[in-house]
Amino acid sequence: MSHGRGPGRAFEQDKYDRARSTKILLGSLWKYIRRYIKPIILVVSISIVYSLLSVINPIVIGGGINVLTESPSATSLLIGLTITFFSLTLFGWILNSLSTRIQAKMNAKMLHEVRYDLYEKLSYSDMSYLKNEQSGNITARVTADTGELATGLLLSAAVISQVLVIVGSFVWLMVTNWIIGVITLAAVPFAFLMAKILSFFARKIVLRTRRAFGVVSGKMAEGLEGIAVAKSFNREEELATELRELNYQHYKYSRQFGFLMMFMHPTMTALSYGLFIAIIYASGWINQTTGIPLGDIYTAIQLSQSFLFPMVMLSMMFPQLESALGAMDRIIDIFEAKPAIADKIDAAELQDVDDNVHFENVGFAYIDDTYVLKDVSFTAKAGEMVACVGHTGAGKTTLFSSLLTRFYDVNEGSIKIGTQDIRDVKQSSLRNAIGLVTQEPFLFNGTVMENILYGAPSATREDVYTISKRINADEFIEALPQGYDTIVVEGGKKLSAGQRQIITVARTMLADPRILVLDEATSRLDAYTESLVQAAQRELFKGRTTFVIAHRLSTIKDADRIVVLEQGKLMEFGSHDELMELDGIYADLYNTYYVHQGLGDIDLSIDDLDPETIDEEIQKKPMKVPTHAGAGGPSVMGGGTGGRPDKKQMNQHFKEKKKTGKKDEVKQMKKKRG
Amino acid sequence: MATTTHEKGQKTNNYGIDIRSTILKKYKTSRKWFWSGFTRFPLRYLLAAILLGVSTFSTTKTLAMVGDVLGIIQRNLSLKLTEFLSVNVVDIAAISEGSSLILFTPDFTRAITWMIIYVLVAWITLSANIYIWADTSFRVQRDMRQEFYEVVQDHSMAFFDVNDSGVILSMGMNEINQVRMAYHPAIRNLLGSVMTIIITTALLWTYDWIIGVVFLFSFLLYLIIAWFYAAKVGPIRQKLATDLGKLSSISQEMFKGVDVVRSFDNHDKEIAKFNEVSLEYADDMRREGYLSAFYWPAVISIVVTAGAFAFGIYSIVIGRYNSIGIMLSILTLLLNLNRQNFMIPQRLIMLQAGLQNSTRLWNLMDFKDPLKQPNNPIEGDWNRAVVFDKVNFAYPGTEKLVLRDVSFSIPSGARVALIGGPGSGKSTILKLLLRLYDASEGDIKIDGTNIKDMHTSYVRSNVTMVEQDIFLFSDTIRANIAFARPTATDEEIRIATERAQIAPFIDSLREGNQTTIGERGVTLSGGQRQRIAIARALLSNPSLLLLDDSTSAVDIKTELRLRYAMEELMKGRTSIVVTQRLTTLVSADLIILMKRGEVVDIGSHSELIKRCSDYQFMCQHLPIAEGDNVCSDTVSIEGGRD
Repeated sequence: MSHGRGPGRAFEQDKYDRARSTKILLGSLWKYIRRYIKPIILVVSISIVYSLLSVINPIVIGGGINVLTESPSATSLLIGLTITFFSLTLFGWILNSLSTRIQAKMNAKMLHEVRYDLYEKLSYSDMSYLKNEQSGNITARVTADTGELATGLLLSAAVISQVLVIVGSFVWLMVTNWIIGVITLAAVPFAFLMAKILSFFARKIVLRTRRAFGVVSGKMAEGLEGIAVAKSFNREEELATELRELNYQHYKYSRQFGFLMMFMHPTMTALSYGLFIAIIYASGWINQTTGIPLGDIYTAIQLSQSFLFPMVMLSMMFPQLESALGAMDRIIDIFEAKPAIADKIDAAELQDVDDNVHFENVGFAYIDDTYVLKDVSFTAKAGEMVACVGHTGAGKTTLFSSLLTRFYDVNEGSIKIGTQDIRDVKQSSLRNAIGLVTQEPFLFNGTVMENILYGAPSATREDVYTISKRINADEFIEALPQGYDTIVVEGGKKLSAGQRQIITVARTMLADPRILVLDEATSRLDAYTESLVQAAQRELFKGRTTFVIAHRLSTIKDADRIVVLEQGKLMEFGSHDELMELDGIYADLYNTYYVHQGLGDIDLSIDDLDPETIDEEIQKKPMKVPTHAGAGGPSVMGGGTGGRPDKKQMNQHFKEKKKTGKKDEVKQMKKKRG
Repeated sequence: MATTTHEKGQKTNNYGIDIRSTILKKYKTSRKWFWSGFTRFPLRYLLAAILLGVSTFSTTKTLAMVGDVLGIIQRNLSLKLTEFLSVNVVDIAAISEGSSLILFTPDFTRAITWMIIYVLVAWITLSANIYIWADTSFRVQRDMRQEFYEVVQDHSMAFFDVNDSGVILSMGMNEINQVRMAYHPAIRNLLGSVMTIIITTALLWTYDWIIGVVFLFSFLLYLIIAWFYAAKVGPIRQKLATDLGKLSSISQEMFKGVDVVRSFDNHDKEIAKFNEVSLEYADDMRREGYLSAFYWPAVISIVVTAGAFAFGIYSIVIGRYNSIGIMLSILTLLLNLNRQNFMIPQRLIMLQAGLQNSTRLWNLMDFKDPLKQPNNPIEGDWNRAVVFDKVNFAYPGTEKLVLRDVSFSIPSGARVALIGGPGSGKSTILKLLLRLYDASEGDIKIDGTNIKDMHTSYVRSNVTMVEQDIFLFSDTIRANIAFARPTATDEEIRIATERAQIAPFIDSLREGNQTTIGERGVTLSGGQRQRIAIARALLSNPSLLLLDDSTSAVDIKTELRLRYAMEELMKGRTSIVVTQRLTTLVSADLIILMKRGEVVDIGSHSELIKRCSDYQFMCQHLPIAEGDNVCSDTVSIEGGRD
């Protein structure tokens, strides 16, 4: 439950163990810090001067008092002291402001640089890395972790000056009077002990509070996403009641947190005042023996404050510094992540003379030895439409959407377009040649027009109208409130899945690729619209090599060739008639899966069906469960909803497929029909 | 097994209190809502404030006494022993033991004792204050969050159409946190600061009235200037938060759609988009830093402290003060106030943020909903005809009519199929029947009663919709089915799952209907989800059923189970089904064909296939199995679509 930005993620982070030593982390940070070496030196020098000032100031006051007690008439000296006090304080203020200003500029710039590099790196990193990580998690790297790092950098400047103040104050206390120095030192264990105890409890309570916050947030998210369902079943009140209970739970933990905080501040104040009293009392004793000027006592009292408070501040800063280092660690993870497939140095442009696509002994595994494709060989002739059929998990999507597009490289064999191996071709020229319509219709935030223009920025609005009209999309687009200029929000929540899909089809058609991969590209459309879209496709892509992962009869029958995959192996290849003649897997599939799609009465009784299993029909898309909101900003929802089942899940699925033996099941059914 | 419409009877509601208007009427403005924390728990806050007063007084008094005690030390040191003896009646024996008594005079001991007492009092009262204040503020946060959610949830779909649910969520969680932070710690600290200023002034007054007066005015000036400063920083902070939100949505979008980005080779475009916002963020961050760098209200307090230093010295030189202790007390108090310099601006910014956020929250709560509940809701007989009478409809806030002059009448118990291309207005009709929206013009009537005159919860308890994209909660299967009627018995749920053809599947799960679904549980296939939704609808047992069944299942088993489940669901009630399933079309009593928001034709399959060219065209384009000849009449008609 805990991914995405915000409390859930922060919770994970608390358990986080760094993989790298502080030294290595600082080393990597050096790359960025190096560019700012001048301002950093400036800031550090300012910090040193400023710390000195905050130690000197009480000393000046003390000096003034001493002069007063001894010779109350040294007017010129007193005026001098006043002026010194005033200018020192003002100077301190100016220095501090200056350093804040320099740091603000530097920090903002550095943050931007880290963010930019990180984002660029991520954009070009390996597909499987991006697919395995939840998009919310990756986003947290880019926004939250970099922010934490920036806070850490700011803090480290503060740490330097705080340490200096502590050291300076203590040295002067010892110089003034060693007994007072020792008394002050005696307060340190108290302060540390308290900080330790508090942080021990705070950690637990904070975790619990955050978790409760996450639960409230999750509940609210779900309530908002399912609002239409709640309304149509009149269940708003129940949802409100459930939220109220969780909300109360969160309050209870927050209250515990308040209880804890109740000790922190008052106790520190009491401790520092206790220190005053102790110093004053001790001064009495000291006076009897050695004698100590009044001004020095006053200085000591003030300095004891400059000693104790930075100490507490530091103890509160260290956890933050630690989490900044943790953030750095995660950021480096990304910098070191496997990059996307790189072009060969001598990569050529894809020539457009020969659009035959050859799959030669293709073998592929997402991880290690779990091959999802084995020894697949066939040739799609230029201009042919090749349909691919097979059960879920047979490797259809992998073969076309992942390998032909070169999101991944084959482990064995090769894929060639014409005479060129796709690994020898520039990726940009390959991807410009291939158009892909994915299973999951994905839209960008922006207008419908912008979305359709996404793949062909140079196309005109007229081109968009023409394409949309051809695939019958104009009817519903024009019915939208602002027509083509309607803004798509939240990935198109107001559009139906079919409407989203038809926009993605228009997008690819407008991009006008030479080779087309349609991965169940029309599965979300209603049958009528689908038939119109397919008719338009047939016409538009006449003469182009087209690969179709098919789910409907009409598509398959249009195909020139049919590829039948099963458990990653090519089982049959040929035209519809040839394969029906063969009476093998395809004929089976055709009879059980495709033929009924019309009106046809199903001559099966419900009792003839085998009981369903959980993996009978794997979900293409994980159920939409809201993730928890993070610190501000839209689209925090759906942060954790990945696009497709992840690798592990997929492999798991393949394994189970082997066990259950889908083929037998189908055969069995056929027998019953027969 | 099927219940008839008669047995079912009418459902009525005792409409719960309208939370939304109750709350909106109670607070009226965002300002009142923001400050309502104090009126919600007046006694607790009062007690906390009194405690804060006591602790502030004790703290300040302790500080002031530093000078007093030092004054005593100084006096005692300067007194000669003989003078000292004449002033103080002391134990002779003690003197012989040493000179310790010279210092520890009774007034010294008394002062120290008082200091210790003050410190203890401050410690206890401050602790109590923080606890009570924090606890109360968390209560305020809890209650305001609940109010926000309940009010927002009550808005009609018109609200959710235009508001990103991620934004609403983030506001309900984070911005309410900000409102709480305005209470605790901001207001508490500011109150403490103001009290410190007042008590310090009072104490200064007792030492030296001139300094008291100067000080009071300068700190009032300081506060005013600090407030304006905070007002300048506040918006930048807000902007930073929005920018961060933008950054995260840009990157989230890109990572979710990475295959689309890659397949169109559009990396550079995405990176440029990110770069732009990131630069904007950096710029705002720099601006914020610059503003807080030269926080010049601090100069005022520096000048005041230095002035007091000079004036104190001057007073001693000319003999205005009889003890150096007075000057030291004044100085200690002023230096203490200087420390507030760190806190006051931060807290003022927090308060500003709380105020701004409460306004934003309130604006969401105060949505002017186009859908209004009737003042005197009436009920109707749902077992009568459902009539659309010249209905026009445009989504709230838009001009474009998505339904134009739609009129039809559905007799009770009829099975109606709605058919049409995308954007033809089919789903809109379903939404209007659920009263998720009201018709812009024309009437929708049930038994002659306009549904505008019915309470929404009454309408929805008689109408149930099974949507195309099914939403299930990440809860147990049972909870999801019982969502329609939480009071349902196990037996009733059992019957519903059986009728929906999902029972065997549920039984095959180890935890049965207690299995959690969703991210934390098992993942269901589309067909399984659809049948759970059907079980849910069966349990709600509506008089009018709305079913959006636009996409049909792919494999034969899913298809078969679904047909049975739908058959069970439609049994014995009026149903309107958006469908392209030929079986459903053929068996429907009535088909309503929609096109571009208008009704093209109404009639049975056999009527429409003969007379309506649009229908013929559509049927031709539906997948037809070999050998079926349902649409054979149309084969000769080409280009029936205009």
